[in-house]
Amino acid sequence: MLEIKKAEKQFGERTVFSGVSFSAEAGETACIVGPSGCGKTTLLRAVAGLVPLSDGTVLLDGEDITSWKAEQRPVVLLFQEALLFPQLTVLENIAYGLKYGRRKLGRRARLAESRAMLQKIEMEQWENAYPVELSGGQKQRVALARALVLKPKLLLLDEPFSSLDASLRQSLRTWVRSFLREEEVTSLFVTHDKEEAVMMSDRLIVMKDGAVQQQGTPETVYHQPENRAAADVIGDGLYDERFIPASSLTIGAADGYSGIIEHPQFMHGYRFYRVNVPSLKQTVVVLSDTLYEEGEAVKLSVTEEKENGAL
Amino acid sequence: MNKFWKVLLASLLILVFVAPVLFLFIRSVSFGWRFPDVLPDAFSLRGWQAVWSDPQLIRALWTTIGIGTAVVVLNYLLALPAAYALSHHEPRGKAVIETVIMLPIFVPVLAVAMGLHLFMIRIGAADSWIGVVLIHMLPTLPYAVRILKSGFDRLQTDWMWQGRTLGMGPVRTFFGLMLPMMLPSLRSCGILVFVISLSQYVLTAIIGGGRVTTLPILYFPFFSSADEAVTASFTMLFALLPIVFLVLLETALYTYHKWSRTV
Repeated sequence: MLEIKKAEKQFGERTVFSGVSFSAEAGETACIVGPSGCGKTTLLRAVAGLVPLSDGTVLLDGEDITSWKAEQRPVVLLFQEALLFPQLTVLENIAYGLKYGRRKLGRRARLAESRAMLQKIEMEQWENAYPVELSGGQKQRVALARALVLKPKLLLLDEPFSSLDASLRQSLRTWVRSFLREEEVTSLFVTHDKEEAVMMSDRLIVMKDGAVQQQGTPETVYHQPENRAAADVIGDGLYDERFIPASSLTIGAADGYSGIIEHPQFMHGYRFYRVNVPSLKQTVVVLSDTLYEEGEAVKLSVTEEKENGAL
Repeated sequence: MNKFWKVLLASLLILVFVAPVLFLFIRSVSFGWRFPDVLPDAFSLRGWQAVWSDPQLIRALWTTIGIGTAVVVLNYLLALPAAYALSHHEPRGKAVIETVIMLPIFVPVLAVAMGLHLFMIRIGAADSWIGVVLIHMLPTLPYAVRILKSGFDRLQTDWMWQGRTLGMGPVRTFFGLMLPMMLPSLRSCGILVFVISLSQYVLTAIIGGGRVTTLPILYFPFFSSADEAVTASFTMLFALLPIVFLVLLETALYTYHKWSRTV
């Protein structure tokens, strides 16, 4: 289990983040979601031991690893790029950490474990291929295998799907999520994509402006953001002293919030409108089957509260 | 590209690259070959025999290979850390340091060598192969740093971090991860440095003081001899040296690559 307590990082005068505390149970995937520049990548690197924390502690299975060097921590970090070693084959890449890294094994054991891992990621036929021959998704799968063959207590993922195209990203997310569950790996995942965050996580941590805004199950955080910052990052709706989910907003009533139709959006077989609400300086995407023009002024009314987005 | 152009290109390449070497080779094994004869009157190995039977030349051959190899190794030792630091750190006055490192290429080498000769005499390195190795660093080190630096520039910090997070300490990260990825740069650096060292005449003559005889030092007396077959043989031998070195270097780098493999 991972516990971060009052973590703080400063670069010179600038505070990247402070007072960051959260935890992830063993086997859980915790996900930090936040806009770029909120300090989430730096936090991840600090947990990996690549940059030192200015203050606070990192506990892994009850052990304080705050002052451990990166190579001593039973933690592997996956980067945005797969960073496979180009001069080595797929199998050799997977075996890399078993020869040079934390979990050293003899040649025969290396070969056996790497082959078993190759099978798990369903890439046996690529054993002798070089990284240049692989697609982006395959590279990330190999990178994941290279990390997991070391049996880390914690896996860190820094937006590992961001360099992939949309459809590949979708399929790889699903695959990685079930793979991590099967292997029962405790993992900490960082992303700026709220859809990805809600989908990948067992526990969701919303970060903005260098601080944790809210944490909980993805279901709770998505439907009930506690403050404006959390609502900005994760919620679909408006925030006006309390969170009003998009599902309880209706376009076209006589009164309510004044809004301007920005453009229509089509998702999951329905028509939505992106509506700008100048008085709140927010935009919201609302379901509607009426036709509106771009730039048309409308009213957004709040209907009775619906539980967790049920229609 | 149609056939005509292919043939033309191939002929040009043969004319420019293959023909001169072929001519040189035939010259080295021919006996009395004068214009306008298309082929020599007779073939003989006399030219080669003359070259190989000269004990001074055999010694010079070994001296040249020894000095060249030492210069390459010393360049690796000095240029690798320098190039790494210049590429992955921001030392104060980085631009100044880079310019100073490149200076030996801009300043006439002869002027520097004269001054350095006095220094060599003082430290007792003049007229010795150590002095020659040191003076050969002058025209080679700037290029070595340049080549290796651009190699390191291509390796982002993320690679090293990836190594660390897989459990490798800084030393292992360097030898197990960075150097194997630097092999292409190490290869071009090694070849260039060896060839530059091989072609030094003035520097070797000044600092070696005639005591350190490398192939270029012997080349001039040989060249002035009237026997063209002997000169051609010597030239062939000279031209073969970089190829021999290339094979040795490739073997060394291949062994390293083999060692750094993981299954």
